[in-house]
Amino acid sequence: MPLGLHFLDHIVNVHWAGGLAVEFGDRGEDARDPAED
Amino acid sequence: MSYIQIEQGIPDFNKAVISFWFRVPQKSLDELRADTEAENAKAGDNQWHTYPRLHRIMPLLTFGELFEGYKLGTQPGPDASYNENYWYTPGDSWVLMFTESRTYNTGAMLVNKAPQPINPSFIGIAYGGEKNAEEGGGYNYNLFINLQTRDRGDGASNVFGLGRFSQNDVNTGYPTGAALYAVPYESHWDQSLGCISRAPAPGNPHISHTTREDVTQMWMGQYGSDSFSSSLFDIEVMPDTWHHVLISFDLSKTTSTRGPVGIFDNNDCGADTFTHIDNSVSNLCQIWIAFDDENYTNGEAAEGHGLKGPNDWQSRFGLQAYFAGGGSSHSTGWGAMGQWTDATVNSGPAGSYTFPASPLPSSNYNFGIPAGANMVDHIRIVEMAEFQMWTGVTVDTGILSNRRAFIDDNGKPVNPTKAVATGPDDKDPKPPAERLLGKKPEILLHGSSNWKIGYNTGTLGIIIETIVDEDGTVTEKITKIPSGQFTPIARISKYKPEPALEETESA
Repeated sequence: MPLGLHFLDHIVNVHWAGGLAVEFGDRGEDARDPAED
Repeated sequence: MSYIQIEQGIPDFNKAVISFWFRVPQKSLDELRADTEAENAKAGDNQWHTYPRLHRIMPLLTFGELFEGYKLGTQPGPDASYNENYWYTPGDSWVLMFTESRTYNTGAMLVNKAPQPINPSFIGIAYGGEKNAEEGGGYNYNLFINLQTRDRGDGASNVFGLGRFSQNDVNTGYPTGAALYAVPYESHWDQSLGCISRAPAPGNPHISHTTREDVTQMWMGQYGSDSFSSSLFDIEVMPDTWHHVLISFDLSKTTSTRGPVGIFDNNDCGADTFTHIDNSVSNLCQIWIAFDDENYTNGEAAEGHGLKGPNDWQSRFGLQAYFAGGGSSHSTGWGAMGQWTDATVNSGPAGSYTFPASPLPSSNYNFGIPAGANMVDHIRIVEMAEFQMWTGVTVDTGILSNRRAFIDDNGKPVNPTKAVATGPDDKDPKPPAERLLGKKPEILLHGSSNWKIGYNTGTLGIIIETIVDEDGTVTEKITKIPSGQFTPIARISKYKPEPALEETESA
């Protein structure tokens, strides 16, 4: 796991603005897809 | 199927507050029903069928140790026999006319007929079969909670027993003729009780004993370990709409449960005596559930289970002990054929069980949303948002202002990271739920992009340090704690619309 420096504000607001929900259970490949937003 | 998990789980706990949103497509419920019915069809009439874990369950959260149980059956125990002796009095004393041997079984034995894996702890949706016509048809899907403890019931006793029978010879016959006054004559007579007085044939009384063998440990072993479930609650889940779940529980109470005792005696045509001690339970655990901002509590059915308070929660073993009666019955009676019987049924002490309040075994086992790797086969398409979990604290979901720390008046999520001042003098504003519960959540999954990478911004996932530079600049340094971060597996997609309760006509 990467260790990083962030501003708390980044967590608080940016992700909030980016939407809250996700969908699980897609029958896609067993692969990580962390970059897509 | 995709999921996020903390492979090594989270530290063991026995109090928690869990809040999250979910939305289940009709298609997922249809698949749950089809798969459940297919498994039931596979089982057919075979009562020893081994069902997979999470049978009839679509998980939203799974964690905890995986226990193994078994299917219990019975088989006859050893046989024994006694004689029936028929006496008569050709002269002035008893003579044996003939004897017949009777065989009986001394009682059933428990046998392990098949393995039965036990569910992990979970929050999920349970398929409950077809609705009846009065309910308008369709199918039952309910929110269901199962917490699997580590307690195997070692301290329990007399919660389940099996009868053990023994009898000695039966001796029947009447004195007649010269023997009427020659053989010993006993004076037992009570017309009102219907007891017949006779001179007894030799070898009386006929003693019939039933005792109870305590097989509690084998009985409890079928369930793997003790568990708490929401089976007394009826919380319907509708498809294709957002739902909010707010659950809290307190399993830190050492609960003592005892079954009832009854002692009956009818001795030799005397008056009946009956003494009775009620079952009892003390120091119950608690559960609080709000679903879609509506609080749920124990209904009337709960009182019959010894649950007095609206949030009392009793474990499976506790419920079984509550109904496990002890006591004895003794009766003596004269039979029409001149024998008399002394019958004792001794069930021993009442069932007894103490839930030891040991924390849920969570550490070292997958903690997954909607399920961990060990339950991946049961994941179905589901939308989720705003997962928050605190351990070591509880919340009463029946108090509206408590619910407002999670869901607002418009049925929308309260931002769990946005500090809100309680008034103009509040110098230390906090997010409402953090203020209510007195600490930050251990797990916080806030925002689609955090969910997708499994970024836990709760206290198990990050350390926040405030750093003041020489020039007075204040920054916050955030360090991820690897052991508290989720690993995302397979594709997790951003989803719209955002979570919100649908407006109802009354709202």
